[in-house]
Amino acid sequence: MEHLNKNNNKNNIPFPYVYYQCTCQVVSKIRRDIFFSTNQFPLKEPVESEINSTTISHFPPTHFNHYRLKSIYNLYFCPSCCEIHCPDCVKNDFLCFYCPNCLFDVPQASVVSEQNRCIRNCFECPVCFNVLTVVSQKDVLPTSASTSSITDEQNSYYLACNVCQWKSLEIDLSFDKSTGLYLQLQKKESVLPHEVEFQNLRNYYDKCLRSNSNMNSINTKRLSALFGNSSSLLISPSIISHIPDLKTKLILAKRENNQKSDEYNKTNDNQDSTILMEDELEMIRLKNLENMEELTSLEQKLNQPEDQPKFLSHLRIHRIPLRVKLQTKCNKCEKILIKQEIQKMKKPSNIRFAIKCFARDYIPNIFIQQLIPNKPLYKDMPVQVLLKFVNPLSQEIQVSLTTLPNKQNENENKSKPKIDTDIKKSAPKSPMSPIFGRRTSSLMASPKARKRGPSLKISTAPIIPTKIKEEQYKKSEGVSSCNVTVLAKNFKIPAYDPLKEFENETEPTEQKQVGIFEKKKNSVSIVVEVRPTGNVNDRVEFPILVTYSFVNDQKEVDNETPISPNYAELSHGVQKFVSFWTVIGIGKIVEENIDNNKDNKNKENKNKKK
Amino acid sequence: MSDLSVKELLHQTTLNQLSNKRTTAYGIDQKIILDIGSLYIKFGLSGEASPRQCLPNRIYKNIENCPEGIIVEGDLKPLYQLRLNPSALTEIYERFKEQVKLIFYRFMMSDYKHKRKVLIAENLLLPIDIKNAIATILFEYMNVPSIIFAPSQLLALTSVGKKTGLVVDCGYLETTVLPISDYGCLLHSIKTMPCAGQDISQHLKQLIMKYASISFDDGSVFPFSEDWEKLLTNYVIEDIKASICFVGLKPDPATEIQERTKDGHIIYRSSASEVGYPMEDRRLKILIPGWVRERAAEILFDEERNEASIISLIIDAIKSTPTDLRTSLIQNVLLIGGTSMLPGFSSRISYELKEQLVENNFEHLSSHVKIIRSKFPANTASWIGGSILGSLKYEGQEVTLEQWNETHKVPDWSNYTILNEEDENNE
Repeated sequence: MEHLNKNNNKNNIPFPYVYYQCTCQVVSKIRRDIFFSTNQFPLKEPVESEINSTTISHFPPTHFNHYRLKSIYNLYFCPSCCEIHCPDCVKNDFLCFYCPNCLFDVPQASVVSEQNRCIRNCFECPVCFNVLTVVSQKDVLPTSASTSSITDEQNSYYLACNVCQWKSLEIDLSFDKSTGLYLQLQKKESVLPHEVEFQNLRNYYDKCLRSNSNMNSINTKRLSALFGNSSSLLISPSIISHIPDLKTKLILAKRENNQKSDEYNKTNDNQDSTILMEDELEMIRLKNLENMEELTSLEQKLNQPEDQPKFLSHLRIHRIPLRVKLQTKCNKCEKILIKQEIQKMKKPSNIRFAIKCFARDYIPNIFIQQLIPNKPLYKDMPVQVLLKFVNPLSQEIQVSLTTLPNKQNENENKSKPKIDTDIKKSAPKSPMSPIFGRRTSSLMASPKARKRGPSLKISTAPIIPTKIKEEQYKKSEGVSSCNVTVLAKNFKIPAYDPLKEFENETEPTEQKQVGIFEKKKNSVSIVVEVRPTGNVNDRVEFPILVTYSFVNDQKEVDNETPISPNYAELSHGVQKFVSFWTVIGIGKIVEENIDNNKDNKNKENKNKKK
Repeated sequence: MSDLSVKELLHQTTLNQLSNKRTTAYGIDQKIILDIGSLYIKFGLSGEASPRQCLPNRIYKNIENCPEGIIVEGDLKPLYQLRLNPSALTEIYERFKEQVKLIFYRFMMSDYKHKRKVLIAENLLLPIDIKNAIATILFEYMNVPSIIFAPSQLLALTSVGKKTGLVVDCGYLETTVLPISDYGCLLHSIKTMPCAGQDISQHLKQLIMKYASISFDDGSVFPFSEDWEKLLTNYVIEDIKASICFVGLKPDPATEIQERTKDGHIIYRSSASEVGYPMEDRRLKILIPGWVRERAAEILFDEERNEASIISLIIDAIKSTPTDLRTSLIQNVLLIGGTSMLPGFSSRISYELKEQLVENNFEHLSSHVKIIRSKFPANTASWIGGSILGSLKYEGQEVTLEQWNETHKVPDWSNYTILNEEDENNE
């Protein structure tokens, strides 16, 4: 019970919502199931290639939280493999680097060497992280007597922050010229103690490693411990000294090493007293601290990780870090999903997209139109939810909906949960037959499938050992606290026609299908009846499997630039099915009115008795 | 076609530039060095003299609901705890994934096209579950070609150019003392206690709530009450700790201890000044008494309370090492970890260690006590070591993507043969 509660607490999406399950969730579930049944680690690729609308239908979402479900606006849709992708299952590449301040494009070559910072005159305030501006000392104090004597040649410049009024003069930094500040700054930076120390250390270890690789293997092994060779970690020096043959070699190597290390240590000798002195001085300074004006904040310290100064006077100016534009590719087929337009001049200020495959442009968008009655949710009080399906495609699509079996049905026959038989009758073309009880482990039975590697095949019924199957169902039961009835399980949504966008609704509604509330240009609203069955404060949310199919009637398929989402790989006239799970959350069950209080009390009493 | 060749050309120039720069000695690819602490992740590229950033592990609030490119940063929250709850693993996994995405994409460590190897400075006693989660994310989401695990204490020792020493790691969750001799970790002598920065923070919070007061800008002063607790977020506590706390010398029981309260607190007398910590746009100040600033870290040295103190850990570690190593170890005491950056920490350790060594009949060692001085901040010491070694032309043992796909196991000092077991698995 506790476990269930925790799960419920993790369901953290604010109401009301319509969220979608990404394909990668199905992939990870299949991989986990394969691991549990075969104890082998399946690779991503073969599993991914087996994903189709049928496999997806077998894996309803079990945890309704931000980690597992995404809003449609955060999802991508790959038109060539007809799958939904979320930011977790795409490949990102760097497209162009730019400075957010000067908006100049930075070539990749200089990005690495300049430590991802702008090489132009863009500097960041070390106190408030805003942009610094170059100020001439002469301009600031034009009337003062001291500056009037300064000629142009003597004029110096400094950096100032317009937000917090910090000046680089506070850290004794001024420049002779107003241009090329970075080069002037770099000269000062290269003599920083940590840089020098780092170079010395690296040269020292470089020497060590070279001499060792020439000498013998023992010390190389020992040094390889530095690189995480855990086996050599376990060899204590005493063990090595017990092996006589190795001992002499080791001593030789040690001698060699000692000479080298002594060389390095010479510079560092006799410093115990100084470090203690410094430490104590700093402590005493803090002890007698008057106020915090001159101390740095945690953020300022972290922004300067090389020395993390305690006092404002030790802060240094940093160049502004660069930003990057990413190009997003499909994980499976490497088709580019998102790409910003980059012209020859590569202007980073250009924010148009060259390619954008957002899910909202490809899959039916689902909205909660209305709750009837629009009141708080009570237990066992049916609510009608109007779900609006909007077709963003330029083709007519056929939508069929499936819900998880309701609780009552499961009580009747637990082993074989009843699934709506209507759907099979009315949609015989549909390739998916979501019989949830039929999850037999085909992989377990066939010896061929046991082979690892790409030969791995997931047949229509994914392999799940019986134990896990039951657990999964218990979980999903615990989450769903309502009975859901969908009357219109199949319906068509007309194509989206941009020309008709602003026309008035003229089409008369033809023969009205049961359960359809209204039909508009490219949208259909259906009625879903929800009867909350859980306790007070339970979340009312339920998964729906949406399968839509369409026929590609575009005669000419342009492979290079698909003008409309016309699924380049699909040949003309082929019907294509796409499935995905959505979760619709409408609210929490609230305490019932006074009229119903008696019932509640009775129930509570019953519970107590139990 | 032309576009492709231009790209190749660009890539080539990148490589050329790389080999010319001081950052890489042999034109070998830079590695990403990660030092994953529970509170901060230090990351950067090998061959650089400092980590690019210390990324705090924060809670990101409703990251999905924000407009693109905007992340709402919440309070600091440690990524994991010492006591690992299996149900918390999912959260750790997801939070670390977000952090990795930030590090790789926002801070431009590497992308899908140009992959880089990763070197992780690992705590030797890091729970294997967390290590697995780290490897899973890096391999599965980022497709890194290989991960090298290196013990953080050893890396820290290389950052000061030594090969023998006693590394005292006082981080956020635990304090570890590990003797290292000739680059070999003497794991049987490792001593730990689960008392470090986090406990100081909690202690500090308790002390502030009890003994601090709040002054408003109109001059009125109120004692700190429970209602103000929400002001003391983890970030504020960490900020107070990092900026105004320090470690005083060992308190003299006769003069400096004022009172022992029933719940175990000790009120000290101190000459340290009271400091006002400004909050809420300087509208109010938390007045923190001087003794709280000085004695908040006292729990690390309080053997009675924890049945262990840093000093006792060091002495225990020394006791369990071979006698011929002891002198060279005690001469090379290296303090790493963020908590050891408190001013006065190293001198307190030095004085108290000398004292305690005499009491434990190690008079001959007492005069040798030496604390190594590093030019790098203590919390980045392991990172620096990783950066040095990652930039050298030496390929150590590593877990490659292929190995990972086969076994899904990470090397662990307790079952180090795991990578050689492939043949057995095939049977």
